[in-house]
Amino acid sequence: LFRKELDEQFEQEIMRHLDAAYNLSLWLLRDPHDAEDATQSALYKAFRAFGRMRGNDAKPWLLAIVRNECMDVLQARSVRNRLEYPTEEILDFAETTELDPEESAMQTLDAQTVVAAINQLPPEFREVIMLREIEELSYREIAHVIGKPIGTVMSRLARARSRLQVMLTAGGECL
Amino acid sequence: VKCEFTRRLIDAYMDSELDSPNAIEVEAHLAECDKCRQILEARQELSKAIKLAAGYVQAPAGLRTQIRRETHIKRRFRFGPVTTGIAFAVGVVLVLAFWRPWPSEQDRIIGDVLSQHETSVSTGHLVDVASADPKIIQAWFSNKLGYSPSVPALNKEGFELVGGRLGLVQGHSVPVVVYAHKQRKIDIFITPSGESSATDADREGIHVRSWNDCGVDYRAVSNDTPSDLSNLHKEFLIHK
Repeated sequence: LFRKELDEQFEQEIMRHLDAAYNLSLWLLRDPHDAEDATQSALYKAFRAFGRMRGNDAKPWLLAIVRNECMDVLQARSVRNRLEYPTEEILDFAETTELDPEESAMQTLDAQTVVAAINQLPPEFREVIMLREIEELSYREIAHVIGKPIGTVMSRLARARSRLQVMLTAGGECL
Repeated sequence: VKCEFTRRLIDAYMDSELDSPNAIEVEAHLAECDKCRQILEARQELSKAIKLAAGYVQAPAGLRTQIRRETHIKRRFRFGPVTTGIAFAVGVVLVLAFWRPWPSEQDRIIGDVLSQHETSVSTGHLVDVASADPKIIQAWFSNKLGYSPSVPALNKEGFELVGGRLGLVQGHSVPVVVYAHKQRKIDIFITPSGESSATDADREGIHVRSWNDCGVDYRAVSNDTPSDLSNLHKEFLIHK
Protein backbone atom coordinates (compact mmCIF):
# COMPACT_ATOMS: atom_id res chain seq x y z
CA LEU A 1 0.00 0.00 0.00
CA PHE A 2 2.74 2.35 1.05
CA ARG A 3 4.72 1.44 -2.02
CA LYS A 4 1.86 2.09 -4.39
CA GLU A 5 1.51 5.52 -2.88
CA LEU A 6 5.20 6.09 -3.41
CA ASP A 7 4.87 5.10 -7.07
CA GLU A 8 2.03 7.53 -7.64
CA GLN A 9 4.11 10.20 -5.97
CA PHE A 10 6.99 9.38 -8.27
CA GLU A 11 4.76 9.81 -11.28
CA GLN A 12 3.37 13.10 -9.99
CA GLU A 13 6.49 14.69 -8.58
CA ILE A 14 9.29 13.32 -10.72
CA MET A 15 7.91 12.26 -14.09
CA ARG A 16 6.36 15.67 -14.66
CA HIS A 17 9.88 17.11 -14.64
CA LEU A 18 11.04 14.70 -17.32
CA ASP A 19 11.07 17.44 -19.95
CA ALA A 20 13.20 19.64 -17.71
CA ALA A 21 15.54 16.72 -17.07
CA TYR A 22 15.83 16.01 -20.77
CA ASN A 23 16.41 19.65 -21.70
CA LEU A 24 19.14 20.04 -19.11
CA SER A 25 20.84 16.87 -20.38
CA LEU A 26 20.52 18.09 -23.93
CA TRP A 27 22.04 21.45 -23.12
CA LEU A 28 24.88 19.97 -21.15
CA LEU A 29 25.69 17.09 -23.49
CA ARG A 30 24.63 18.65 -26.82
CA ASP A 31 23.78 15.23 -28.20
CA PRO A 32 20.21 13.89 -28.30
CA HIS A 33 21.29 10.28 -27.95
CA ASP A 34 23.59 10.90 -24.99
CA ALA A 35 20.98 13.17 -23.45
CA GLU A 36 18.38 10.44 -23.68
CA ASP A 37 20.72 7.89 -22.10
CA ALA A 38 21.73 10.24 -19.30
CA THR A 39 18.13 11.22 -18.59
CA GLN A 40 17.08 7.61 -18.47
CA SER A 41 19.77 6.48 -16.09
CA ALA A 42 19.23 9.59 -13.93
CA LEU A 43 15.53 8.78 -13.71
CA TYR A 44 16.30 5.21 -12.64
CA LYS A 45 18.60 6.52 -9.96
CA ALA A 46 15.90 8.94 -8.90
CA PHE A 47 13.40 6.11 -8.77
CA ARG A 48 15.62 4.05 -6.50
CA ALA A 49 16.45 7.02 -4.26
CA PHE A 50 12.97 8.52 -4.31
CA GLY A 51 11.96 7.06 -0.96
CA ARG A 52 14.89 8.86 0.62
CA MET A 53 14.10 12.26 -0.91
CA ARG A 54 13.85 14.93 1.77
CA GLY A 55 11.64 17.97 1.54
CA ASN A 56 9.38 18.76 -1.36
CA ASP A 57 11.84 20.29 -3.80
CA ALA A 58 11.45 17.48 -6.28
CA LYS A 59 12.58 19.48 -9.29
CA PRO A 60 15.99 20.65 -8.03
CA TRP A 61 16.46 17.24 -6.43
CA LEU A 62 15.88 15.51 -9.76
CA LEU A 63 17.89 18.04 -11.74
CA ALA A 64 20.82 17.54 -9.35
CA ILE A 65 20.82 13.84 -10.22
CA VAL A 66 20.53 14.59 -13.92
CA ARG A 67 23.28 17.18 -13.72
CA ASN A 68 25.66 14.78 -11.97
CA GLU A 69 24.89 12.11 -14.53
CA CYS A 70 25.72 14.55 -17.34
CA MET A 71 28.91 15.72 -15.65
CA ASP A 72 30.03 12.09 -15.44
CA VAL A 73 29.40 11.73 -19.16
CA LEU A 74 31.28 14.95 -19.91
CA GLN A 75 34.18 13.83 -17.78
CA ALA A 76 34.32 10.48 -19.52
CA ARG A 77 34.25 12.32 -22.82
CA SER A 78 37.05 14.67 -21.88
CA VAL A 79 39.20 11.77 -20.74
CA ARG A 80 38.48 10.08 -24.05
CA ASN A 81 39.22 13.23 -26.01
CA ARG A 82 42.47 13.80 -24.16
CA LEU A 83 43.45 10.27 -25.06
CA GLU A 84 42.43 10.65 -28.68
CA TYR A 85 43.49 14.21 -29.39
CA PRO A 86 46.12 15.02 -26.82
CA THR A 87 47.43 18.11 -28.57
CA GLU A 88 44.19 19.74 -29.67
CA GLU A 89 43.53 22.98 -27.87
CA ILE A 90 40.19 24.39 -26.98
CA LEU A 91 39.22 26.85 -29.65
CA ASP A 92 38.84 30.43 -28.66
CA PHE A 93 35.30 31.46 -29.25
CA ALA A 94 36.17 34.86 -30.68
CA GLU A 95 37.77 33.14 -33.65
CA THR A 96 34.81 30.96 -34.45
CA THR A 97 32.00 33.49 -34.25
CA GLU A 98 30.81 34.92 -37.48
CA LEU A 99 29.51 38.09 -35.99
CA ASP A 100 29.93 41.34 -37.76
CA PRO A 101 31.76 43.60 -35.27
CA GLU A 102 29.50 46.49 -36.07
CA GLU A 103 26.39 44.50 -35.36
CA SER A 104 26.39 44.77 -31.61
CA ALA A 105 22.74 45.21 -30.72
CA MET A 106 21.25 42.22 -28.94
CA GLN A 107 17.89 42.44 -30.66
CA THR A 108 19.34 41.53 -33.98
CA LEU A 109 20.86 38.32 -32.71
CA ASP A 110 19.35 35.28 -34.27
CA ALA A 111 18.57 32.23 -32.22
CA GLN A 112 21.26 30.15 -33.85
CA THR A 113 24.01 32.54 -32.81
CA VAL A 114 22.77 32.68 -29.23
CA VAL A 115 22.59 28.90 -29.03
CA ALA A 116 26.04 28.62 -30.54
CA ALA A 117 27.38 31.07 -27.97
CA ILE A 118 25.79 29.18 -25.08
CA ASN A 119 27.24 25.96 -26.41
CA GLN A 120 30.67 27.51 -26.41
CA LEU A 121 30.50 28.12 -22.66
CA PRO A 122 32.16 25.62 -20.37
CA PRO A 123 29.57 23.26 -18.85
CA GLU A 124 29.83 24.93 -15.42
CA PHE A 125 28.64 28.18 -16.95
CA ARG A 126 26.20 26.57 -19.34
CA GLU A 127 24.34 24.83 -16.58
CA VAL A 128 23.75 27.93 -14.46
CA ILE A 129 22.53 29.82 -17.53
CA MET A 130 20.12 27.03 -18.44
CA LEU A 131 18.87 26.52 -14.89
CA ARG A 132 18.27 30.25 -14.47
CA GLU A 133 16.98 31.35 -17.86
CA ILE A 134 15.16 28.27 -19.05
CA GLU A 135 14.13 26.44 -15.90
CA GLU A 136 13.82 29.72 -13.98
CA LEU A 137 15.06 28.18 -10.77
CA SER A 138 15.94 30.39 -7.82
CA TYR A 139 19.57 30.78 -6.82
CA ARG A 140 18.93 28.53 -3.85
CA GLU A 141 17.55 25.81 -6.11
CA ILE A 142 20.44 26.17 -8.54
CA ALA A 143 22.83 25.88 -5.59
CA HIS A 144 21.09 22.63 -4.69
CA VAL A 145 21.40 21.29 -8.23
CA ILE A 146 25.07 22.06 -8.72
CA GLY A 147 26.00 21.35 -5.11
CA LYS A 148 27.70 24.72 -4.56
CA PRO A 149 26.98 27.68 -2.25
CA ILE A 150 24.59 30.42 -3.37
CA GLY A 151 27.51 32.85 -3.59
CA THR A 152 29.10 30.62 -6.20
CA VAL A 153 25.86 30.51 -8.15
CA MET A 154 25.67 34.27 -8.14
CA SER A 155 29.23 34.83 -9.33
CA ARG A 156 29.09 32.05 -11.91
CA LEU A 157 25.89 33.37 -13.36
CA ALA A 158 27.32 36.90 -13.55
CA ARG A 159 30.47 35.64 -15.23
CA ALA A 160 28.53 33.42 -17.60
CA ARG A 161 26.34 36.31 -18.71
CA SER A 162 29.29 38.63 -19.10
CA ARG A 163 31.00 36.08 -21.25
CA LEU A 164 27.94 35.62 -23.38
CA GLN A 165 27.63 39.34 -23.84
CA VAL A 166 31.25 39.56 -24.86
CA MET A 167 30.79 36.77 -27.36
CA LEU A 168 27.56 38.08 -28.80
CA THR A 169 28.73 41.62 -29.22
CA ALA A 170 32.11 40.44 -30.48
CA GLY A 171 33.98 42.52 -27.96
CA GLY A 172 31.77 45.54 -28.42
CA GLU A 173 30.90 46.06 -24.82
CA CYS A 174 33.08 44.81 -22.02
CA LEU A 175 32.00 44.14 -18.51
CA VAL B 1 32.69 52.80 -6.33
CA LYS B 2 28.95 52.76 -6.58
CA CYS B 3 29.17 51.52 -10.15
CA GLU B 4 31.48 48.72 -9.17
CA PHE B 5 29.13 47.71 -6.38
CA THR B 6 26.14 47.82 -8.69
CA ARG B 7 27.77 45.86 -11.47
CA ARG B 8 28.77 43.14 -9.07
CA LEU B 9 25.17 42.75 -7.92
CA ILE B 10 23.38 43.55 -11.13
CA ASP B 11 22.64 39.94 -12.05
CA ALA B 12 21.23 39.13 -8.62
CA TYR B 13 19.21 42.35 -8.81
CA MET B 14 17.77 41.41 -12.18
CA ASP B 15 16.96 37.92 -10.93
CA SER B 16 15.25 39.35 -7.82
CA GLU B 17 17.69 37.53 -5.63
CA LEU B 18 19.02 40.51 -3.68
CA ASP B 19 18.01 41.15 -0.11
CA SER B 20 16.12 44.44 0.25
CA PRO B 21 18.89 46.69 1.68
CA ASN B 22 21.15 45.83 -1.27
CA ALA B 23 18.28 46.00 -3.73
CA ILE B 24 17.31 49.47 -2.55
CA GLU B 25 20.89 50.63 -2.86
CA VAL B 26 21.25 49.22 -6.38
CA GLU B 27 17.96 50.70 -7.43
CA ALA B 28 18.92 54.12 -6.11
CA HIS B 29 22.17 54.00 -8.05
CA LEU B 30 20.48 52.85 -11.25
CA ALA B 31 18.14 55.83 -11.09
CA GLU B 32 21.06 58.22 -11.34
CA CYS B 33 23.64 56.31 -13.46
CA ASP B 34 22.93 55.94 -17.18
CA LYS B 35 25.89 53.66 -17.75
CA CYS B 36 24.79 51.14 -15.16
CA ARG B 37 21.23 51.30 -16.42
CA GLN B 38 22.47 50.47 -19.92
CA ILE B 39 24.29 47.51 -18.52
CA LEU B 40 21.13 46.29 -16.81
CA GLU B 41 19.18 46.70 -20.03
CA ALA B 42 21.81 44.80 -21.95
CA ARG B 43 21.54 42.02 -19.39
CA GLN B 44 17.79 41.94 -19.72
CA GLU B 45 18.09 41.80 -23.49
CA LEU B 46 20.49 38.92 -23.18
CA SER B 47 18.16 37.09 -20.84
CA LYS B 48 15.29 37.58 -23.27
CA ALA B 49 17.44 36.49 -26.20
CA ILE B 50 18.42 33.30 -24.42
CA LYS B 51 14.84 32.48 -23.52
CA LEU B 52 13.80 33.08 -27.12
CA ALA B 53 16.66 31.20 -28.67
CA ALA B 54 16.78 28.20 -26.44
CA GLY B 55 13.60 26.48 -27.45
CA TYR B 56 12.23 24.11 -24.93
CA VAL B 57 12.02 20.62 -26.36
CA GLN B 58 9.85 17.81 -25.16
CA ALA B 59 11.45 14.63 -23.97
CA PRO B 60 11.02 11.92 -26.63
CA ALA B 61 7.85 9.94 -26.05
CA GLY B 62 9.83 6.72 -26.30
CA LEU B 63 12.00 7.81 -23.39
CA ARG B 64 8.98 8.48 -21.24
CA THR B 65 7.37 5.11 -21.92
CA GLN B 66 10.69 3.34 -21.51
CA ILE B 67 11.21 4.85 -18.06
CA ARG B 68 7.63 4.10 -17.05
CA ARG B 69 8.00 0.52 -18.16
CA GLU B 70 11.35 0.00 -16.45
CA THR B 71 10.24 1.54 -13.17
CA HIS B 72 7.08 -0.52 -13.37
CA ILE B 73 9.10 -3.72 -13.72
CA LYS B 74 11.39 -2.67 -10.90
CA ARG B 75 8.39 -1.84 -8.80
CA ARG B 76 6.94 -5.27 -9.36
CA PHE B 77 10.14 -7.01 -8.35
CA ARG B 78 11.17 -4.61 -5.67
CA PHE B 79 11.16 -6.37 -2.34
CA GLY B 80 9.47 -4.74 0.60
CA PRO B 81 9.88 -6.21 4.09
CA VAL B 82 6.81 -8.42 3.71
CA THR B 83 7.83 -9.73 0.29
CA THR B 84 11.32 -10.43 1.54
CA GLY B 85 9.92 -12.34 4.51
CA ILE B 86 7.69 -14.43 2.29
CA ALA B 87 10.52 -15.13 -0.15
CA PHE B 88 12.72 -16.19 2.74
CA ALA B 89 10.04 -18.52 4.13
CA VAL B 90 9.50 -20.06 0.69
CA GLY B 91 13.24 -20.57 0.40
CA VAL B 92 13.41 -22.33 3.76
CA VAL B 93 10.51 -24.61 2.85
CA LEU B 94 12.09 -25.50 -0.48
CA VAL B 95 15.39 -26.32 1.17
CA LEU B 96 13.69 -28.50 3.76
CA ALA B 97 11.63 -30.26 1.10
CA PHE B 98 14.35 -30.96 -1.43
CA TRP B 99 17.61 -30.85 0.42
CA ARG B 100 19.74 -33.93 0.07
CA PRO B 101 23.10 -34.19 1.73
CA TRP B 102 26.10 -34.34 -0.54
CA PRO B 103 26.58 -38.05 -1.35
CA SER B 104 28.90 -39.44 1.29
CA GLU B 105 31.61 -42.02 0.71
CA GLN B 106 29.19 -44.68 1.98
CA ASP B 107 26.47 -43.53 -0.43
CA ARG B 108 28.85 -43.77 -3.35
CA ILE B 109 30.04 -47.24 -2.35
CA ILE B 110 26.46 -48.45 -1.95
CA GLY B 111 25.68 -46.95 -5.36
CA ASP B 112 28.61 -48.93 -6.82
CA VAL B 113 27.62 -52.27 -5.32
CA LEU B 114 23.94 -51.90 -6.13
CA SER B 115 24.52 -51.09 -9.78
CA GLN B 116 26.99 -53.97 -10.20
CA HIS B 117 24.60 -56.36 -8.53
CA GLU B 118 21.84 -55.29 -10.89
CA THR B 119 24.08 -55.53 -13.96
CA SER B 120 25.25 -58.96 -13.00
CA VAL B 121 21.67 -60.23 -12.51
CA SER B 122 20.27 -58.62 -15.63
CA THR B 123 23.11 -59.77 -17.92
CA GLY B 124 23.28 -63.23 -16.34
CA HIS B 125 26.98 -62.79 -15.80
CA LEU B 126 26.86 -64.04 -12.22
CA VAL B 127 30.45 -65.14 -11.66
CA ASP B 128 33.89 -65.07 -13.21
CA VAL B 129 34.79 -68.34 -11.56
CA ALA B 130 31.97 -70.82 -10.96
CA SER B 131 32.59 -73.28 -8.18
CA ALA B 132 31.10 -74.56 -4.96
CA ASP B 133 34.58 -75.23 -3.63
CA PRO B 134 35.99 -72.41 -1.45
CA LYS B 135 39.58 -73.44 -2.28
CA ILE B 136 39.12 -73.01 -6.03
CA ILE B 137 37.52 -69.60 -5.54
CA GLN B 138 40.27 -68.46 -3.15
CA ALA B 139 42.95 -69.64 -5.57
CA TRP B 140 41.29 -67.67 -8.36
CA PHE B 141 41.15 -64.46 -6.22
CA SER B 142 44.81 -64.88 -5.18
CA ASN B 143 45.73 -65.22 -8.83
CA LYS B 144 43.77 -62.12 -9.85
CA LEU B 145 44.30 -59.83 -6.87
CA GLY B 146 47.31 -61.21 -5.02
CA TYR B 147 45.20 -61.98 -1.99
CA SER B 148 42.00 -63.73 -1.14
CA PRO B 149 39.30 -63.18 1.43
CA SER B 150 37.98 -66.08 3.44
CA VAL B 151 35.25 -67.90 1.51
CA PRO B 152 33.23 -70.01 3.93
CA ALA B 153 31.10 -72.87 2.65
CA LEU B 154 27.63 -72.33 4.04
CA ASN B 155 25.68 -75.09 2.23
CA LYS B 156 24.40 -76.58 5.43
CA GLU B 157 23.07 -73.22 6.52
CA GLY B 158 21.12 -72.88 3.26
CA PHE B 159 23.53 -70.55 1.43
CA GLU B 160 24.94 -72.30 -1.59
CA LEU B 161 28.33 -71.11 -2.82
CA VAL B 162 28.08 -70.17 -6.49
CA GLY B 163 31.48 -68.70 -7.22
CA GLY B 164 33.48 -65.46 -7.30
CA ARG B 165 34.05 -62.49 -9.54
CA LEU B 166 35.81 -59.16 -9.51
CA GLY B 167 33.87 -56.07 -8.58
CA LEU B 168 34.76 -52.40 -8.82
CA VAL B 169 34.29 -50.20 -5.77
CA GLN B 170 35.48 -46.59 -5.92
CA GLY B 171 37.81 -47.47 -8.76
CA HIS B 172 39.42 -50.47 -7.06
CA SER B 173 39.06 -54.12 -8.02
CA VAL B 174 37.63 -56.04 -5.11
CA PRO B 175 36.59 -59.65 -4.55
CA VAL B 176 32.89 -60.49 -4.77
CA VAL B 177 31.78 -63.81 -3.31
CA VAL B 178 28.48 -65.07 -4.69
CA TYR B 179 25.99 -67.26 -2.85
CA ALA B 180 22.52 -68.42 -3.77
CA HIS B 181 19.68 -68.70 -1.30
CA LYS B 182 16.14 -69.80 -2.26
CA GLN B 183 16.85 -69.09 -5.97
CA ARG B 184 18.05 -65.62 -5.04
CA LYS B 185 21.55 -64.45 -5.63
CA ILE B 186 23.61 -62.78 -2.92
CA ASP B 187 26.77 -60.80 -3.77
CA ILE B 188 29.19 -60.10 -0.97
CA PHE B 189 31.52 -57.22 -1.81
CA ILE B 190 34.63 -57.27 0.31
CA THR B 191 36.63 -54.03 0.72
CA PRO B 192 39.15 -52.61 3.14
CA SER B 193 37.40 -50.54 5.80
CA GLY B 194 36.97 -46.88 4.92
CA GLU B 195 36.93 -43.87 7.23
CA SER B 196 33.27 -44.21 8.06
CA SER B 197 31.59 -47.43 9.09
CA ALA B 198 29.63 -49.37 6.48
CA THR B 199 25.88 -48.79 6.50
CA ASP B 200 22.84 -50.79 5.52
CA ALA B 201 20.60 -49.60 2.72
CA ASP B 202 17.42 -50.44 0.83
CA ARG B 203 16.89 -49.42 -2.77
CA GLU B 204 13.84 -50.54 -4.67
CA GLY B 205 13.62 -53.98 -3.16
CA ILE B 206 17.33 -54.66 -3.11
CA HIS B 207 18.92 -54.74 0.29
CA VAL B 208 22.46 -54.05 1.37
CA ARG B 209 23.55 -55.59 4.64
CA SER B 210 26.88 -54.25 5.78
CA TRP B 211 29.22 -55.29 8.51
CA ASN B 212 32.78 -54.83 9.51
CA ASP B 213 35.16 -57.49 10.67
CA CYS B 214 38.86 -57.05 11.44
CA GLY B 215 39.36 -54.01 9.22
CA VAL B 216 37.38 -55.40 6.32
CA ASP B 217 33.95 -54.22 5.16
CA TYR B 218 31.46 -56.78 3.90
CA ARG B 219 28.42 -55.71 1.91
CA ALA B 220 25.91 -58.39 1.13
CA VAL B 221 23.66 -57.27 -1.72
CA SER B 222 20.50 -59.15 -2.64
CA ASN B 223 16.79 -59.02 -3.21
CA ASP B 224 16.66 -61.67 -0.49
CA THR B 225 14.84 -60.57 2.65
CA PRO B 226 16.72 -58.53 5.21
CA SER B 227 16.32 -61.27 7.80
CA ASP B 228 17.92 -63.84 5.44
CA LEU B 229 20.80 -61.43 4.83
CA SER B 230 21.11 -61.02 8.55
CA ASN B 231 21.35 -64.82 8.86
CA LEU B 232 24.03 -64.92 6.22
CA HIS B 233 25.91 -62.23 8.09
CA LYS B 234 25.80 -64.37 11.25
CA GLU B 235 26.82 -67.63 9.55
CA PHE B 236 29.57 -65.87 7.61
CA LEU B 237 31.14 -64.64 10.82
CA ILE B 238 30.90 -68.08 12.43
CA HIS B 239 32.36 -70.01 9.52
CA LYS B 240 34.90 -67.69 8.00
